[in-house]
Amino acid sequence: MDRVLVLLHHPGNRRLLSEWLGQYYDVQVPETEQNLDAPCDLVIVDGMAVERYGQAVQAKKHRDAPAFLPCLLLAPRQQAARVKRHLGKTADELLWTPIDKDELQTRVTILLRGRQQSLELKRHNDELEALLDARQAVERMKDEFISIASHELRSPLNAIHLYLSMLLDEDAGKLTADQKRFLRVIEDHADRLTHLANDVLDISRMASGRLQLNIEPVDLREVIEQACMELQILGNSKRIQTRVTLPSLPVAVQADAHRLMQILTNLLSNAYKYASEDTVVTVQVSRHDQVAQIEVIDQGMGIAEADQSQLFTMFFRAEAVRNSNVRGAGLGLYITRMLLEMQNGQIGVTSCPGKGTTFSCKLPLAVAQPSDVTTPPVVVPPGESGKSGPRSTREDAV
Amino acid sequence: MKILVADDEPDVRQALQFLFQKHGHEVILASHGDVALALVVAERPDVVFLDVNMPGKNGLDLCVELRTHPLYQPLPIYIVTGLDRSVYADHAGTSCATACLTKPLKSRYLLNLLARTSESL
Repeated sequence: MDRVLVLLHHPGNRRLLSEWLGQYYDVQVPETEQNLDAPCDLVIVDGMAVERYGQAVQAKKHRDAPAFLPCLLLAPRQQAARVKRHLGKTADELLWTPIDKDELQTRVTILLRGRQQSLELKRHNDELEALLDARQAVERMKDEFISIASHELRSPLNAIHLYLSMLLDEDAGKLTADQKRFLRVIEDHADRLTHLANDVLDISRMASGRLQLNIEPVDLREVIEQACMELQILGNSKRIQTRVTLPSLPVAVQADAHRLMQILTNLLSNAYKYASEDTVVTVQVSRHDQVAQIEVIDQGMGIAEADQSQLFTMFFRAEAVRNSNVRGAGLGLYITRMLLEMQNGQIGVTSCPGKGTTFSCKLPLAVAQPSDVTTPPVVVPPGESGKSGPRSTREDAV
Repeated sequence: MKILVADDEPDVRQALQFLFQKHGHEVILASHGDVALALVVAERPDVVFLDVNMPGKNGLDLCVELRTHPLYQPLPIYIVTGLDRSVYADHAGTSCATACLTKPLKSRYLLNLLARTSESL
């Protein structure tokens, strides 16, 4: 039952209103000011009460917010000038006295309806907020879980790789040809697991905003040459040649060296994976305004136009690739795109099925160009073929 | 060379001990950060491999502490982590280590690393 708080100066008026409204509502007529705190759904005041209890009523309304606590002011027309200033502050509705019982009833009904609707709205809001909190908690748990799981995966993978590589190097004794072959298969799968764990970890970090980049000027020649040197082995069985075309003047981009290496590794390994036998994989760098463009071009199976728009989404693998025997989880290009975008760059693709594909990456040029650039040392990431190459050293680009 | 390997995984310690000993190195093992510190002082290894996550002092703090002593400033210290190095990028240990290696590690890579390290000693 709705509760109506009646604050009228004259006892006679108080009695009358209690009588009229008491049949339908729980009418409260406080004896003292303390009783003003009792919860209610409507406050009825007159000209004197509004002066005396105005602040208290406003405080009650404030406490109920965002729910609406209506206040009805009863006053004679002669007091219009004095009472009108309370409208909108303490009172929401004004009824001139002497009041008509039916009119009072109508106004009370309408005001209480407004109150109920606002309470309903508040309930919905509270539910939504609770759901939102719960959802955010689940998101955080999910991110934590992925992060912990992929981290925990690395420990057993570490032991697996160590023992496998020692076996394959025959540190524990000579192997038969079959034993070597079987162990290589195991190592291949362990590598796949490792890449997957790394990719998942990267994605979870990106999603939770915890992927940190160390952006600085990076000399493209050095990074590209290192990537090509390390990955060339992937193209050897298909007799693929690698060509690198760089402008005569050195080009430095504003990027994270480690992540740029990761991007090039991903694009180059795809190029070698999907290139046709006896073809050429080209890496081409050019400058346009304040942007450097790196293109990785292969002459392989190509990508259907319908697939091109989804290429950089998570887990997407083009149909031709799914039908081939090339393995992959479909995370590499998604991560590549995210990494480029995080470095204020972008990636695009052009392709002709049956002819080949060009991936082009754009990155902002470093403010400091040519002779100012020193490239930070890039440690060869373990987990690759492990062959030793020339160690990257700091050198001044000339 | 005398190599200290600090890692809380027994299988990893055993693998590295086997590998390094097979290639003629002397190996000292520690499974706990504080023990690793004591062993560096007592045994004076030529190279140190420190896993980041160990009971006691973690590898990064251990590295920072070692570098405060002039005696250990030239010591080749390799931090081994299962997490992306950017997670620890702000930690002083990352910048004062000789290099940060990300798991999983392969035997050939480690042996080449040791070869390069011994050349520079």
